[in-house]
Amino acid sequence: MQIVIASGKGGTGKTTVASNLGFVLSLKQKITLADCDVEEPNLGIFFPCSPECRDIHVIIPQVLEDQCLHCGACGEFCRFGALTVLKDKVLFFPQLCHSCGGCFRVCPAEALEKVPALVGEVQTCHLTDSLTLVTGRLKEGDVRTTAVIGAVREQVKDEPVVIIDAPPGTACPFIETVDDALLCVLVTEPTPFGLHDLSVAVDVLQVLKVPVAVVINRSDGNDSIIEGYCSEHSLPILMKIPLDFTLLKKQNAGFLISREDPEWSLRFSELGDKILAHARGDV
Amino acid sequence: MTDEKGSNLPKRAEIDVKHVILVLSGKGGVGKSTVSVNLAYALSMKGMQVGLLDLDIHGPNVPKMLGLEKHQLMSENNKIVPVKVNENLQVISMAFLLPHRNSPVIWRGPMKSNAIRQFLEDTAWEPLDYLIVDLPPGTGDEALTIAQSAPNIAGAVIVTTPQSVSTLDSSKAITFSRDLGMDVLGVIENMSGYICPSCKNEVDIFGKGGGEKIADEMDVPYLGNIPVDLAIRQSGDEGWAFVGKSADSPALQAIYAIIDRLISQIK
Amino acid sequence: MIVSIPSSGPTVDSQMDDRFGRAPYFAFFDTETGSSRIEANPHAGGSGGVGPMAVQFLVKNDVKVLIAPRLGGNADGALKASGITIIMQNPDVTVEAAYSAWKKNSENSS
Repeated sequence: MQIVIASGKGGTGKTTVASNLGFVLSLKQKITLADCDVEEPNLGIFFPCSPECRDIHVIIPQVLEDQCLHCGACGEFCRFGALTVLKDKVLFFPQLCHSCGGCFRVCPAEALEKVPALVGEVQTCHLTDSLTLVTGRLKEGDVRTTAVIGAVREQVKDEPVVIIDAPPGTACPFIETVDDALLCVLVTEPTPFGLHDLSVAVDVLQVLKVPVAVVINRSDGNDSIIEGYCSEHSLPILMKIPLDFTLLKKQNAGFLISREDPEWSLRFSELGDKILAHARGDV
Repeated sequence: MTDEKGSNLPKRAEIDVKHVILVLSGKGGVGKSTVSVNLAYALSMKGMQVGLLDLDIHGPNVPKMLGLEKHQLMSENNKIVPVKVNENLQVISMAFLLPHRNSPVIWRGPMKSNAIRQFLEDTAWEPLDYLIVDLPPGTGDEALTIAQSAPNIAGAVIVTTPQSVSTLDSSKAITFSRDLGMDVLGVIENMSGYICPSCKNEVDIFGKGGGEKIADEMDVPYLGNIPVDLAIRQSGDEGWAFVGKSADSPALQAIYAIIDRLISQIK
Repeated sequence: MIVSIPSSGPTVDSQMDDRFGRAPYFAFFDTETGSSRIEANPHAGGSGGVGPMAVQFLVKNDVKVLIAPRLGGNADGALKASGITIIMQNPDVTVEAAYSAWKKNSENSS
């Protein structure tokens, strides 16, 4: 069961929700927390540990000039301009390569060797018997975000219940994180910005055919802006997390509020049960 | 959607043309270019000064259909010189600028719009009676740009084939034209019936009547149907205009009848 | 030899384009025959890597000299590796004028 906590908008409280959910649910069942915000993974801040790390690579071409016929086929094929065939050599721009593998197929002379390029790492922490944290971490400055996200998802795909912290935005990294998930819980805030970005995320999820549920964070009791939209689009609002300075202070200092405060523990437990029920289709 | 109201739309190109006719279709492969080429050629044979503007930037077919593939565009006095087919017919096409015959051009909207404006405004067109604009299938950037940039638009001609999938798409083209404030001069049903050369039986291989039906439903004129004629396909492949060189045939008569009806719509 | 210049329009009277990889057209001048032609830059609308793709386009056309206003990082690297001579030129002239000026210069200096 893969459940993604996302938002579209950054800073709405994805990681707050994911971290507390993961913790509280793990008290009752086996939970895997996956951090797919690989450019800036934050879940680990709430769960310090010494992780097992493994490197993640993508395959890029290396030109074997001795074998190369300079026919130009790879350069013609590459949509990204990563291969430029000159009269007497081939230039390769690694920062443009998307590792599609096409150049290897079109080369008539086996002049391209497959070499690995490091793009990041996946860190695994067995926090308790029932809680594991898997974090994807992209090499700074690299752009191949989806490769690392893919590696994280691959590692957790057979786990019974996976709570996935998604990256912000609605582009490739988000799509790679949420594609084929059982349910996407969108965390939003009751502001025009929250609404706008929520609607963008909902549009994308509709195309991907991933079911959606909504959590309103930082609710001040006046959430009609989001409620109206959700009602129009038949999106269930699973919970309204009130704007609470105690929570903010704790979370922003790196502490899990549900570990410290029984009321919040109960709230997140209820949310967790609702999410799981929704994901199972028991609604 | 006119710039007369002082809106933010770019000004229309200042070229000397009496009537601009857009040739549109919903679906591809229905015979727009065939219709455009033969319409332009037929008008030129009647002594009109005609310009033929091939705006299918990704798949420009007009030069091939007129045997002009080897030509390049020249310039004179800062203007592009169109390629002359005969005394009365001038052609502009992206095909003249493509590196190899089968080169794709990966250009996006704004670039295509610029190129279209250049083809309109920076070309040394002789004073034209008609400018026939061959558009790519569908209702994309190219159609929008020309609808906004060309002066004296007489209207749009919609080409379809008889089958429902085609007429469905053509209804979108009709609505699109109306939304842009253009008159729909009429619907032409191409590939309308095939007359077997040996037994002379007519077989409606793509159906029949769909074009007339959609014209009726959308309340636009029906200009006529063109039957399948092997010589039409041949002319396109070999690079000559069907109306220029053919022996009399039902297809030829059909085309002339359509042209007469079209011209009378404009006057 | 072939000299190439990025062009904003489809003729040699068009203004030079102020880009390289995304220039809509390239002009090619043959110094020996005096002939010229303009071709659409096929990858101008690509989402990325257009600099190296344009260099490949020039290499395919046997270009020895490029007259251009400015180059992106990838294009610069690719051009240097290709052996094509780069002449920097302000794009406020027509393609034809830029070529004539270069031709006169190169004749004077040789």
